[in-house]
Amino acid sequence: MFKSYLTIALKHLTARKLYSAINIVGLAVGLACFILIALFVTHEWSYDRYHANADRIYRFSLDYSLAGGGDVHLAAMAAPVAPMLEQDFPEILATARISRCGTADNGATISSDDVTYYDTGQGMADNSVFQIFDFEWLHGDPATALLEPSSVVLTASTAMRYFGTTDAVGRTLDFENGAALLEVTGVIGDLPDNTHLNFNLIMTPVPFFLEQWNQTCFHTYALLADGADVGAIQARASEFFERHLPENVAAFIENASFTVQPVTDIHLRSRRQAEMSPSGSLATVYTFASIAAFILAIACINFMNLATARGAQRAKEVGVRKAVGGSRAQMIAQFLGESILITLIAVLLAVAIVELVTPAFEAFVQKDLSVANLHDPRAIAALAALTVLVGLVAGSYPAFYLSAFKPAQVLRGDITRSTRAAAFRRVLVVLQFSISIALLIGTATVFQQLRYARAIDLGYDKDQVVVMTASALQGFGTQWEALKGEWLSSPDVTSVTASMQVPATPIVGTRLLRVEGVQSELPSPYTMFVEFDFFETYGIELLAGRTFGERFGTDRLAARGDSDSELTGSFVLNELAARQLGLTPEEAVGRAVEFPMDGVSGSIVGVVADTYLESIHSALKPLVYVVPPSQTGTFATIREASIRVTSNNLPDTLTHIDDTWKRFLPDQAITRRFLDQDFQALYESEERQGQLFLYFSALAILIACLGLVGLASFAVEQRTKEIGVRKAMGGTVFDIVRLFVGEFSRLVLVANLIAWPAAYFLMQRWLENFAYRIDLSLAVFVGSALLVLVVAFLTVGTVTARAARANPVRSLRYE
Amino acid sequence: MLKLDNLNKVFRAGEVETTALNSVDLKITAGEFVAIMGPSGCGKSTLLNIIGLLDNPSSGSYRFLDEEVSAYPERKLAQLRKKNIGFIFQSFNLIDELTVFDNVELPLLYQKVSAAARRARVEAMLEKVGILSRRDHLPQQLSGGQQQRVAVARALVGEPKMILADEPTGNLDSANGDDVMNLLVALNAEGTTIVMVTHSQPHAQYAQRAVRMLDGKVLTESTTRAPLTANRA
Repeated sequence: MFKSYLTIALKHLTARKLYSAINIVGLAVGLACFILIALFVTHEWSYDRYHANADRIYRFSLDYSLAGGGDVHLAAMAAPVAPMLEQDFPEILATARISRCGTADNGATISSDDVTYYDTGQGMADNSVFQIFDFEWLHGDPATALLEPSSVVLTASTAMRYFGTTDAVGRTLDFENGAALLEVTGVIGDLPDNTHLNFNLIMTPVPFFLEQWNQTCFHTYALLADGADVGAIQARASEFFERHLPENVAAFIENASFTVQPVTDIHLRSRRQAEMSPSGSLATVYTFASIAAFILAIACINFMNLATARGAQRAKEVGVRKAVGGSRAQMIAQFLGESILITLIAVLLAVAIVELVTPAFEAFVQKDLSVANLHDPRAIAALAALTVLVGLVAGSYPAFYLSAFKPAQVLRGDITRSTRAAAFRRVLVVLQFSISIALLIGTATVFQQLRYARAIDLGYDKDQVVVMTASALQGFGTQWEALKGEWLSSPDVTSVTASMQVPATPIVGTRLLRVEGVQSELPSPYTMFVEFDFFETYGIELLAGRTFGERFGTDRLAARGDSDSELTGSFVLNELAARQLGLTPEEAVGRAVEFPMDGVSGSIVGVVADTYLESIHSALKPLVYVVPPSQTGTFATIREASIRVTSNNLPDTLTHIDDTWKRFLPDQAITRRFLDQDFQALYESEERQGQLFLYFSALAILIACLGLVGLASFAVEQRTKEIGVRKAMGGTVFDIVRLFVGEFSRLVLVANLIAWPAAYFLMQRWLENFAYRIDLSLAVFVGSALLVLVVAFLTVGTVTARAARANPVRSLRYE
Repeated sequence: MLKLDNLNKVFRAGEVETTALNSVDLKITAGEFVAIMGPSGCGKSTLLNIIGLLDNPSSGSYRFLDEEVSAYPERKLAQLRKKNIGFIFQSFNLIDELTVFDNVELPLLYQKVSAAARRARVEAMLEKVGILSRRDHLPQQLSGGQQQRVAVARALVGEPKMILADEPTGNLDSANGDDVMNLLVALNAEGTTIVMVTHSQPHAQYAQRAVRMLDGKVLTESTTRAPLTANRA
């Protein structure tokens, strides 16, 4: 029996090459998209699940409100908390801290005997991190690696970079030009792609930091006992801080609490401030998964349509098989088997396609998807299951349709086309094109939003700005004025300034602000520490008063009287901050102002225009600009130099900039970039999403059109006599083409009725991710509909035109 | 073998009703050779389809091998069909994608006969109808007469109790037609019941009894010749 089925199946495949090719290629493309996206989705879901104790590892993240208002949700925790957690919660078996200040620059100058790097992957960690998380140990002992002070563990590629070998235990690294000498006590394999952990070099924590409540960069993890009640721990969060928070800290913050997060949830479900790695997006995962399902659905619909449209060719066989004793169940099994066979061929082709395009896809999504996984037994089993599932789903309707032929009817040659089946096929075509149109609308909307984001008036000039970053500890030291002066000595350097951060990076750091004559305090304006010429370098418009100027002598924050703890200086607000205080820019200038929690006071000297210093995902923030005291302390407040250059002699200008750096900061590695690269990176994710939408829209339309080719070809074949008669009666080629094109085009027009509401709903939700966004435009909807209509016209028109050009005599003799 | 009582068959296409069979009474005993005749559209093929369990009557009784089968579901009809009935069609109805051997083997596959037994029986049947040398040919590579012999082989290979032939000589020349009729007579002599629809008066003479139909009704029944000796193995 199987041989008979197989023989028939293979004969049908080879007898009608066009239909077989359309079926197999259409399914293969759909399956390839599905497999690629499944690899991506699997990868995203796999973050941190490889740890042996993954189901018992949790991160404790800090939540609090600022006195006066404003909530803060950090990914990290204050340093002293970890041991207190172990003390208070017996179900916590161990804790570990990793100090990394989010994805912002964690850089430090680190040198071996041979090389010096400005390394942004460094951090501190408790040794217990090696007991909680799983790492691939190449050298050293995880039990003791970070127990001794000044120890450091490197990843393999970091060891290679500094020492040219992974066998680096016992070697030393200089940290921040003699600030510390670190002994390498361990080398671990490079962290896999699918972890939120992000470091290449971790050292023993400096004890001083571990006692400081204002050190909130410590990502704190806990290993819980089996069966621990996480809810019960969470419920005691506020009470924990009531008991442990020192009074001087409690004066500044309210409602301190922690959120307990499973480590496996961090990548996709956590978007707190200062995450250790860029977060993934659950929305993106769901979007991609939906796209994969839609494209596969389109391919399956094609299969169903073509199989049922050509049903008449199998009718006689069904009649004979039933006449000689075959049951309907056996017919169904036969056709499902054929469907699975075709799907198997398509899966093999799809795997080949996937292996071909994966390098480009991985580069595109910037993930290592390890396609080699397609060869392991679990993947093969998954592919086999996919083959059977798709074969059954795609083949189900054709199997039931074809097996229903009545032998008495078909064996006497009466193969009346079922109107119900034809109607169902039309429904399937409508569904295919609904999906294609919706994808096109999504694509156009994403690109429109991107164009809007790029074209928006940022309020500052981002082009032709070179950024140089100094170390977090040393900053520019006492060399800032010398650096600035030397840079400005080049005629191609038009302006130089510095700040704590540059545009296109997230603004952190809020302080309570009190303004003379204003009843309410500004709850949480963000503070920007800047040097002189910041507004001029970036071309930020002054609305009232003046900007900072060295010649005034009082702008830079300086000690007030004999008190070292109280500072005074000048303040500049942005327009939003003034507005939130209920003041016009003119009304704000001249008012006394203070940061009451920090002992800083002064007066507002100017108000500048609002600027989109972050991406338009975030709403504009109220900003207070101050010029900090010259650096004397341990940490640099200001470490980003912004140098505006002309486009003349750019290589020479860059050399001048680098040489100046080397001359005045010889111990600090050069880290130079152009600001507009940072700006580009802000929208990289959306850029990629837009391109993916574009590719998948094109594929969806391609597959739907393949189906149209098949259906149109079959319709023409079925109506060859009709075409001959029409031509004999005087019909032109155009008349024939118009007849067929009209029938299919009506279906495409109906598809819009489904696509438009669905696309509108989904894209509105997507646009809500942006604080500043476009309105959905009717032109996009109409344009997408027209594009698909034109493609359908051309597809069906080409197929029917060929038949319509044939000699009508041949058509009439066809019968 | 079978008995039809007050059998009716009405076809409905939209609002149009066509009465194909109207109060048909018919009895056929085992070993008979019956020819059913009448003009086009009189209901002969419909009657044959119902007798062959390919279709259900709209009303009335049909007893086949002492079972009332008129309301049997498709599954049970298929079971009865494959064990007891072989079909020969005017247009042969061979499956074009299968070889001669595979076409004849088909009923035995549905009867779950072992591979070795199937091979033996198919080859014996092909030998019997004189087409063994063409076992690996496709139907489109055969003449009309050869195709009909393959169809006969397929109808017989399952050793059915009854053969239903719907205009078996309709697409054949007279020589081939006579060959097919002689085959049927030989089968009948071995004890196989044969019910044959035909337009051909000469070929109807091969049967023992002729049933004439008109407008869905049985008009007359007449004896054409005496039964041959039944020597069924």
